[in-house]
Amino acid sequence: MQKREDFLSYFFFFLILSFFTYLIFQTPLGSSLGGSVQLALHPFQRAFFIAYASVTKGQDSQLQQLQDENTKLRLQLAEQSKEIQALHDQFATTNPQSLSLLPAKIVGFRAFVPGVSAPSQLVIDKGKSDGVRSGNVVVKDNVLIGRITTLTDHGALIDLTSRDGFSLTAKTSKTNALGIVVGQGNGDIIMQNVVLSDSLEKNDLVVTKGSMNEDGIGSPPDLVVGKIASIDKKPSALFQSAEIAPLIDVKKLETVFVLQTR
Amino acid sequence: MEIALLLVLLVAIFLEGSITTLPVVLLMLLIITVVIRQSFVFGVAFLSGVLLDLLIMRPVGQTSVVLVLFVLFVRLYERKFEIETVPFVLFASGLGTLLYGLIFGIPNLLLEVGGAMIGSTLFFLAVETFRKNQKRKQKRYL
Repeated sequence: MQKREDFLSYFFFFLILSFFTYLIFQTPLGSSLGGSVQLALHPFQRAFFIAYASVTKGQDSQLQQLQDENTKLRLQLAEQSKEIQALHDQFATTNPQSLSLLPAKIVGFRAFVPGVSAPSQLVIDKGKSDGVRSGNVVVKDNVLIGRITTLTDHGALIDLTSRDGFSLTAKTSKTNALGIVVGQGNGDIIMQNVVLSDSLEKNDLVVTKGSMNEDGIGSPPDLVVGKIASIDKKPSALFQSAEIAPLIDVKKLETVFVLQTR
Repeated sequence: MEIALLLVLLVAIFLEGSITTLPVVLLMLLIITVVIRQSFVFGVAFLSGVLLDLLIMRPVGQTSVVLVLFVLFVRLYERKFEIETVPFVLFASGLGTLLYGLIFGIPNLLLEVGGAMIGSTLFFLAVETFRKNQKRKQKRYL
């Protein structure tokens, strides 16, 4: 009987303490304390991440180099074809928002089997104190990586484009077909709700259409989401869809950039 | 032995906070509760939950509640049945991972449950083998 009372009293004490901790950390003081502790933990978190990254990085280095070069060439091609259009749009724009890039180190990304399974979220070492806001997009080499969903003073959680539930409006680079990019989980992305009259081409780049609000939150236009890997078009259906292959292997990233308005 | 397990728990906290969605902290707490049947494990569960919430940006205190409740269920089960057995570790790790995954929305839940059951059972067997060897060595000296 004595033994049972002992552990129950411990249980109730720590359960109440957990609820109390939850309430305390919702206050500004608690949030600030949490941010400070996170800042202290970042080096250890990053050390684990770097150790894992150094193990996986050595593999397929030549293949990775070729893939990186291919990605850069594709992006250059998309950029050049958009130059004239961008100049034209610039003259038509009345209040352009200038954007800045804030570099952020990845301190964690969680996948079922690290290096094998596709992660759905990243943790970076920049937060509210660095001017990051919920809804800011994160990029690498003009490729959209994801969107910030959760923030603390010194850290942020990013939902990747492949995360189940992620969505944004997009268009294809060559044919200007409009659609919605939706994450499916497990590293899969599809572009859906494309009308049948629009044409989709394999290997065409899918870019963001642009949906920034007046506060600068959201995705600017022409960020690359990926390239079309396969097309699903049935004459009997209302819409067609396409599978999108990402241009960047998120598992190999160590630094990303948060897009902020100045 | 206790210190070694707590150090492994600390490593598990950073693993789950940095690179894996597998609930390794929950599984380590299960092993610690099974091996070290003392009430301070509730405190360990609370602190682990707080650290984990800070690392993966959850509201602080959420994971602590789940982990403390998990330790309670294991200790309550211990009052009636033996828990230092492979079937119990297999069952508790599977059920614990399933509930943890449903609460926190972990993807690939079935894979996670399978991985958790296998991993925790193997680790439990390793810990038990080590403890038996330690006891044999102590008996020889006596």
